[in-house]
Formats: sequence, C-alpha cells, structure tokens
Amino acid sequence: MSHVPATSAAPAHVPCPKCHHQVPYFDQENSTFFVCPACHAYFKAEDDNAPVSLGKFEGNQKPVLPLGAVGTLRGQQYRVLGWMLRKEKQAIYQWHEYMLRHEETGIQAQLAMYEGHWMLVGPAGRDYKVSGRATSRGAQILDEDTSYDIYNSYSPVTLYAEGEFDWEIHEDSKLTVTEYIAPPHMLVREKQGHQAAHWYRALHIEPSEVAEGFQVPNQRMPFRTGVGAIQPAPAQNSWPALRSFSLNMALLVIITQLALLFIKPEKQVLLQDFSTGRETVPTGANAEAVAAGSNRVLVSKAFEIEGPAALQFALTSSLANQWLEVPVTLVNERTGQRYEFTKSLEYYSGVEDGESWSEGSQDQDATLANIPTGRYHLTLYPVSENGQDLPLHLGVSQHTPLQSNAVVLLLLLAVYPVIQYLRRHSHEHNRWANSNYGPQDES
Amino acid sequence: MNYLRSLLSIRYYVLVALFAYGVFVWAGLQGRRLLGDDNENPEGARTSTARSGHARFYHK
Repeated sequence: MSHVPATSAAPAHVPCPKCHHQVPYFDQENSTFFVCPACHAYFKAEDDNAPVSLGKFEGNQKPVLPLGAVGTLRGQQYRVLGWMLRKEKQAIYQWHEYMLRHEETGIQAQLAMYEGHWMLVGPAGRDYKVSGRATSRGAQILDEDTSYDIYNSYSPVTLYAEGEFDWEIHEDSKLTVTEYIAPPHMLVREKQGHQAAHWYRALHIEPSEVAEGFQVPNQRMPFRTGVGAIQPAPAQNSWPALRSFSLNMALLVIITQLALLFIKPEKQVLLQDFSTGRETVPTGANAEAVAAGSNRVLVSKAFEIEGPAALQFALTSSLANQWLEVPVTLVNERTGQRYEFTKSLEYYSGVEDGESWSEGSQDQDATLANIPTGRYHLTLYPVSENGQDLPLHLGVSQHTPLQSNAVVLLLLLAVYPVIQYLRRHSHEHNRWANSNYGPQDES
Repeated sequence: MNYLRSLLSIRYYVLVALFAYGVFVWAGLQGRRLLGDDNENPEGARTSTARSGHARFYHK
C-alpha cells in the first residue's frame, strides 16, 4: 500500500472562500464541510452554493496519517478523509480522530488515537440498552455474554481540523459522548438533548497495525504511554485457560497427595523410651563417648522398613531449663548402610517482671527420605549438661506423608499464574486510573 | 476438545506443570522429599565402627 497524496489524487476540488485555494476532496457525495490546507479556514460548500466561511483553525498541527492516504486495517481498505484534534470540554485530555471512508462500501469509520493508543470506530448498526443511568457510575450494557462498563462521558471540542467532513464538526460540542468498555471492544453512545442516541462500536488496534496498514514509518508513530481504554490486558486470550488449568492442577496435586496416604499408609515402626544417664562404668566403645563428655550410647530395638520409604522421627523429652543434644544413626543391619541426623532439644522458662516466659521446645522432628527395605536399628549418642539423666521418648514411623512435596509443587505451579495475575491487575488498575468511573474512585 | 485446544496458548506452562507433577508423584512413591531430608550422611557410609561422641554443644 502506498501513500496517495491528497493534492494529486483527489478527484474534486472546492475553492476556499478566504484564500481561494483549490481545496482537494474525495467524497463528492457526502462531504460538505472543509478545512483549507493553505489558510486553515473552515467552511461549508454544499451543492452549487457558494462556499460559506464558518471560522478558522489556529496553529499548524500535523496528522500522523496523511490526508488522502489509503491503508488497510483488518483486511479492509480505508481512505483518510480528514482529521481532528479534540479535547474534552471539561478536561484537558486531547486526542486525534481520523475520518476514514471504506473504499468499497463508502461507509465512514474513524481511527481515534489517545496517547499512542488506537481504536477503530464504526457504526454499531443497532441500539443498546443501558442498565442504570446511562452516564452514571455503575452503568452497564449486557450484550450477549459480554458486559460493557461505563468508562467515560464527555462533550468533545474540536481544537484543530484538516480535510473534509460530512457534518458540522463544531456541533459535536453539544453531544454527550459516553463510552462503555469490554476490552478490546468499546460501545460509544452519542446523544444530543432528547434526540435518539447514536451507537458506535470500537475495536482496539495495535499501533503496529496502523503503521503497517498505512505505511507510516515507526518514528512518526506517537509514543504509547499508559494503558489504553480498551487495550487488552496481558495474556488476554490465554488467561482463562491458564486459570482453569492451574486450578485443575492444584486440585490434582491435592487429590494425589491424599491418594498417596492410602497407597502408602503411615505406620509406626518403633516407639521406645530411653534414659540418657551416664554409664557408671564405661565399657568398650562407650568409654570413648563418655570420655568426650557424652552420656551413655543408646541402641534401639530392631524394626523392619518396607521401602522405599520416608521415615519420620519424633523425639520428646521432659526438660526444665535443660538441653539435650541427640545424634541419631539409623543402621541397616544387613548392609551396614548408615543415615545420621542430630537434633537439639532445649526448653527454658521462668518469670521476669511478673510475666512468665518460655523458649525452646521439648520435642523435635526429623525426616529421613528414600530409605530402602530392610531391618534397621537406631544408635543414639545423647549429650546433656553434666551428663544429666533425662528421659527421651523416640517414635519412628514409615511412609510419613511428605506434605512439603505438595506445598513445593503448589508454589511452583502458582508462580506463572500469579505473575500473570499481578500483571493483569496492574494493567486494569492503570486502565481505570484514566477513568472517572473506576473502582478506585468508589468511596 | 475445546479445553485441550485452549491449552495450546499455554503449552510451555502445561509441559512444565506436567513434568513437575510427574516428579511429585515419583517422589511420593519413592519416599523422597523434594526439599531434602535431615540426613547428615548423604554418602551412606557403610562403616560399622562406633562413632565418637558429639560433645560439641555450646549454650549460654
């Protein structure tokens, strides 16, 4: 697609009533209002009547899309007939509106651009019913399964224009334009006084589509800032699938974890009480331990493990301002393979300034994973202050439920959906920050 | 069918999730803890000699 300069390819011309410049135009059937490119005079020229001056636009703004250019958007060919720089009557927001004519049907459309965000607007071809007051907070339109929420309501003022138009553009300041959004779509309601409302439908267009469709160099495209009114949120298309799949996976993990409780039920394999006192007469291997300040070496009863299994060890002692360190060795009686862990129990309590306090714990847990089938016993090398004789209760169970595995997987599965959720939440927050009807304005 | 088709848009996440789920099931059946366990003798030494005391506890 190439540019079609308005001045050379325009099929018709109309004289400017101010400077008599021959103003080129394309839509001979409908265009009746023109802006002279030479002196910026705004005038009306209808049928064979002499052109009538209606005023003049100040300044010399440049459009992004050249007048007369033909471009392709969503597979449809449009020609740029005119453009306007507009603002809200009661606010400072300014935007561009490019009037387009469908090259085959002649139907007029519009490209609106605000802060680098583009949307293609065309006649809706039908009316919509607004629930609630059309211009008030909470107004909504339900169209099939889509709900459109009110986003903005304003009256447009034209600051500058070029090209040809089929209506008096200054008359638009009498309109109340109300926008309802369901990204990437928007419904626009234009209403003047008690007259029937006119409805338009808008669609978000990426700037790259406009640049490519109208062959505009990227450096000429306005820089996009913030979030557009109907700019799709990140992962707009994949979010429903991501949400349902991740929830299904979370459910599957929980069911699997419960199923593992039945497939490999937890079973107590050892429950034994010990006393950690010091040997009166050190003998054999115990002598070395006693010499190092340890208590007597304790050996448990033998027990069978049906592996591969995770073993859970529960150590409990009655401590009163005491500590007890318990190195434990699990020994496979057939292969001699050893597994070791050390747990420290300490418990202190007292009363200070009339308030009771305590710290530490009288029990500790440990886990040994992937223990093969076999016959095992435990060797304990307890150490207490001055070799104190303390009670030690030890329980061992096999196939302990590894809840941490499920927690790790659930956290892992949540990472990507949570990131996408936060991105979408931030996007929506920024979108509604530009609206007077956003949820953050509710009080 | 539509559901499966919708997953195409998140296929890499689906693959990673299914792989992670497979690891989870395998770890559950093998009695393995994904975060590691308390074993301080990961080499699984097969010595049967009596160990020396652990008199290295410090306290206030």
